[in-house]
Amino acid sequence: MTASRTAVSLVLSAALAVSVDARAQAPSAKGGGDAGLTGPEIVARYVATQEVDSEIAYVKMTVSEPGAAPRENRFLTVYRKRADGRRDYLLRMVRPADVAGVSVLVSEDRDGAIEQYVYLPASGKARRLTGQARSTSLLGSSFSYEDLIREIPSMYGYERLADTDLRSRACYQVRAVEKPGGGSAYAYRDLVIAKDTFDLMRVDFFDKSSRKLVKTLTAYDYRSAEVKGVTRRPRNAVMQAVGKERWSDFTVVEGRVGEKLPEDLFTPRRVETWTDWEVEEFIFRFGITVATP
Amino acid sequence: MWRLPLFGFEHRFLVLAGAALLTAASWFALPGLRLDLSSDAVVAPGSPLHVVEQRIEDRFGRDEGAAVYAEDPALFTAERLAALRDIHDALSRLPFVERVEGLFGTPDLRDEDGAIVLGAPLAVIPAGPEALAARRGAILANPLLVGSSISADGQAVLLRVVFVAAGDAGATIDDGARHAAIERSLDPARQRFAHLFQLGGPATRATMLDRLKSDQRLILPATVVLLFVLLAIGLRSALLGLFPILNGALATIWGLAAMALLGVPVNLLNASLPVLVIVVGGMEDVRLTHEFRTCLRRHGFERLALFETTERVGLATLLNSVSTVIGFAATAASDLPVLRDFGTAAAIALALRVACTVFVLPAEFALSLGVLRAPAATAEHREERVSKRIAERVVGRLAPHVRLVVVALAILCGVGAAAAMLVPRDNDLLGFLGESDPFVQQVRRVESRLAGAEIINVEVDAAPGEFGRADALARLDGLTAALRALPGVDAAWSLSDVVARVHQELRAGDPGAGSLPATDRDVAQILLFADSRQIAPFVTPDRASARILVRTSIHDAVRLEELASSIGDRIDSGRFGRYVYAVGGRTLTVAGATDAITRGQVLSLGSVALILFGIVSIMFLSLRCGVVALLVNLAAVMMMFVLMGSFRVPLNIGTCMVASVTLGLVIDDTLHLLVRYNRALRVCRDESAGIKAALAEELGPMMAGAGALAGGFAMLGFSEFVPVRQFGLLSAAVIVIAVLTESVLSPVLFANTRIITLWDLLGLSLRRTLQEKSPLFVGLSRWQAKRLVLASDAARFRAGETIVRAGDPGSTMYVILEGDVEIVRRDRGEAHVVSRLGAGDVFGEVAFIAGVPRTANAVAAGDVWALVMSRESLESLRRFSPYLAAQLLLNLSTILSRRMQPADLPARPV
Repeated sequence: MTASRTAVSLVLSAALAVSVDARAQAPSAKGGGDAGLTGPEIVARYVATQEVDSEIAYVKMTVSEPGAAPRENRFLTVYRKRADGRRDYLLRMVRPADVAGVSVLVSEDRDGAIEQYVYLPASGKARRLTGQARSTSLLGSSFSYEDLIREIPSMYGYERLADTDLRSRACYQVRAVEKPGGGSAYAYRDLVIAKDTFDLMRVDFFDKSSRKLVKTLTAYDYRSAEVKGVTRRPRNAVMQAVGKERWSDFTVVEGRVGEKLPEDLFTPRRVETWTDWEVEEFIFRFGITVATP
Repeated sequence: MWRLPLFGFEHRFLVLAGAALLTAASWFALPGLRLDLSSDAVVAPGSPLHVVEQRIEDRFGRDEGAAVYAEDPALFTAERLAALRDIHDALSRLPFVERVEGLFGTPDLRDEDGAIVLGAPLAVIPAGPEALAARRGAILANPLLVGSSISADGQAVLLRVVFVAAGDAGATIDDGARHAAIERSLDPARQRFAHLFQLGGPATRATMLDRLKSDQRLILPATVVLLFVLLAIGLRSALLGLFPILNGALATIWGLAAMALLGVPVNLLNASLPVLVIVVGGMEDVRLTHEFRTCLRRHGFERLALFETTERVGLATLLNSVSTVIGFAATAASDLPVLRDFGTAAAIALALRVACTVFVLPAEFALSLGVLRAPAATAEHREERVSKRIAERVVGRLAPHVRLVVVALAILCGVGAAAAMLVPRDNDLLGFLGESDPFVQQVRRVESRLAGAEIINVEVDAAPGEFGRADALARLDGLTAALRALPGVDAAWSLSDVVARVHQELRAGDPGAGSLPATDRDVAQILLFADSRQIAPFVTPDRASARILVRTSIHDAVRLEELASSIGDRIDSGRFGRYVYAVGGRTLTVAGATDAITRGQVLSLGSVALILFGIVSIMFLSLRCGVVALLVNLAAVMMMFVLMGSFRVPLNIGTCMVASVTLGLVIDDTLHLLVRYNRALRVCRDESAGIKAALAEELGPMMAGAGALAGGFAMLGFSEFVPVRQFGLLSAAVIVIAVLTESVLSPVLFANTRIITLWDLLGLSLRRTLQEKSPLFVGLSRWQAKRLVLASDAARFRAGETIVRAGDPGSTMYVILEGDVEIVRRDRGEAHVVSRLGAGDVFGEVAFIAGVPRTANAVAAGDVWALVMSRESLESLRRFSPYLAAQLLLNLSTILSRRMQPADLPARPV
């Protein structure tokens, strides 16, 4: 796996830690922005703002399509950075009941190699996902499996574009272009990052074949009280497909940061055997309420 | 009426300058013309099928777009696949393209060595022959791809190009630009494949545009040359032959400008408008030129010749122009935009053509008086003799057998009506190009390798969530399989195929797994996991409606409707659940437009026939005239149906116009013949002689006009479009048939009919003596008096001539217009003048009323001119003008009662 992403990690509370490369390049944050920052430096600062060792979030996913009432799902995401530098995150559907148990597991080695597994109770076992262009939509949303993977600065070249304003905030614009040999479905992404806080405000995704804008992710509501901890993540992110009345809204219902997690949680076997009851108990243990959508 | 052409004649330079100015202004409006070659033009908006089609589109997305077909025996090589991917990428980058579906772009998942591979089947081209062969095998094992994206032998692939939605950036690019851009994307790889071409909407329309241009390049000049030659020969003057063509060109430019201003688009039918305007409109110019020249040659006075021309053929020309415009305008009442636009454009252009005839032609006369005055050639005299001989024979031989002719006519109409029922119907946009067209051949090639190009959508509706349930999905699967098994169906896919595919790949290696998930929960998970772009074309987000996509190679409208009916039967069988359903899609909407075509045919033919019947009946003040004129011309139309039924010429957007258009055209001959007959009757005393004279005069122009018309229409037979070809050839055939029936049937049927025209009625100057002095005209209005006069015959008697003879049977009554008549009785062998009658007096009334023999002789005392009223005329008045007849009978009673009084004894009835 050579692709790396930033978008969903904003809300899925998974890939939040700063990579070694990013840390190495990150200048000190002084706030208010710096006109002399390069593209890689801006991204490194953004990644650094989200560093955390573990995180749990209970997320509401709303998918809206033309001609139908919005569909609502709820899922649990769990992230962990291991002592050896590997990172794992798990997404597990909780509601509605008929799709409860559908899970996606992502593990990132220290060298950036990614392993993804998907588990459907209907199939009986967790199956490894392969394929360079993981553009398949993620659980019926406008996100793709590729969007699950966090931003790994070593995989991209970053080019600073003209600064811009977004929602009355001065922002940097950085174009992330995959380095040769990558298998991303995107030709490039344009990241809009707030100058004062290095919050990721918006990402525009450009298709690899057509080089056209295909969707836009917009992040809102940073430093929400619902997300307890020291990170600066948005509570809400909306992915809007271009030219279609189709969007997906991920909203963190509640989150916890820095909690201690079971060691065996991030294995395909555990994903298969983790019962719905155990999941709800796990969530409850962190004081998060599982509301019925 | 003659003031308008007189204006053109006297102000020739002003009129020609005005025409030139208008033409120049029109020229600048021409760039505003827009083209409409879309399939929207051949569907009836708002029809039930169109509503279904739009609803399915709204729910599941549009099918229309473009496609790129590539075929090669060695397709699955790295080099060719890379070339295909380059094409895919180039197409994807086009500004009007939203996405490109197929092996490089359609999301898919497959089991590979225990792992699930996400992404399009050829998102990454495998390296090495073995890996390529393995990938090829995996692709050919995918039922969602075989038939839609790749042929079963893996040698042909189809890339479907989906355009951005209307309103989005790039959507405004026109078809031509789209077609050209796609062609450019293919250019670098053309040598790498045995076949590489594009299909779909832009390619179809670009091909049609190309064929339209080809038509214009060939047919228009050829028609102009042919018509010029025919007219020059017919009129025996190149200059005079040029006028109708020049006027046609003017009207065409004006008409096209009017189309641009009114937003009427050019389509595959009204692209033949220049030909129609030049051919159809030119015929009136020919008649007027012929008439004007004849009058001018006779006396040499140009204004008088113009006046006479207007008097003689002006009304018929005007009425014929009106009927022709109505013939085309009736087409504008169609539900189909292509016919509506054609009818509108043709009606406007032909109306403008009439303006040319009224104003420009007299101006042209004024500038070519030298040519017009040239004496008649010998050939013209020979033609006149031949015409007279034919008229003599036709009327002489057939007129006595009028009943037989009527029966034959009735049989012909009956056979034609029966044949009309057998005429097949057709409305296939691609079929308009004909099977031999290279583009159609390409489409047929694709259909032979992949599934048929025609798409039928089956929408099945149920409660929300229904198609997220395992049992409903199983039923849908059964229904899809049943539809797949129908004759004529190449392939069918539904949600069950997508779910089965995902389910099977997820459970690869598990032989116990069925093709479809067994529980609702499993279905929900698979629907959640499957890519939404794979699901969306087959089920609505609320899972309440599912779509089964059926592909067929059937293009024939009737067979498509039969297939749709079979699909309905399968659903109605109840074996797959009870659902509300609809069968639709662009293919069926276009096929279903044949109903609109049939309706339009009936409506336009009916309305034109009614209008023509009305025109003739009113113009000649006779329902009988109207019926006969209509029957004679309908006979030609009925023959058209016989031809269509015999040669299996379908009723389509072209042929559906033939009946109303040709009826509007051929009635011209009837009107001219009747007008001439009416005029001849003023000279000839018997109808037989009158109709012979009229036919002899009219036969030449009729044949010449029909020849030019048929020739002009036949030129459309060279069109690249099947409906236009059929329209042209069929119209030519109907015109030839019509002129033959007209020249044979009309003289026979009218030979026993004395006709008067409304024109006569309006123009008649009544003698004051009649209204003031004649007891027969007491109490009659001026209009009624004219009607009574025109229902009678006028007769002249020489001095001493016995008008009625005592003892003879008699059914006529006389009103003296001029001169005196003596009533003479014989008493013991001696003749006694018992009365002398003058202008306004009536005689013969007793025999007229009572049907008894004449009681006395009536002898002309000098030259006498008298009205002769027959009992049949009275009968006719009684039936159609009851108030007039009642007053007439009252007057007759008064006359008779006065005769009975002693004071009047000398004036005994005769």
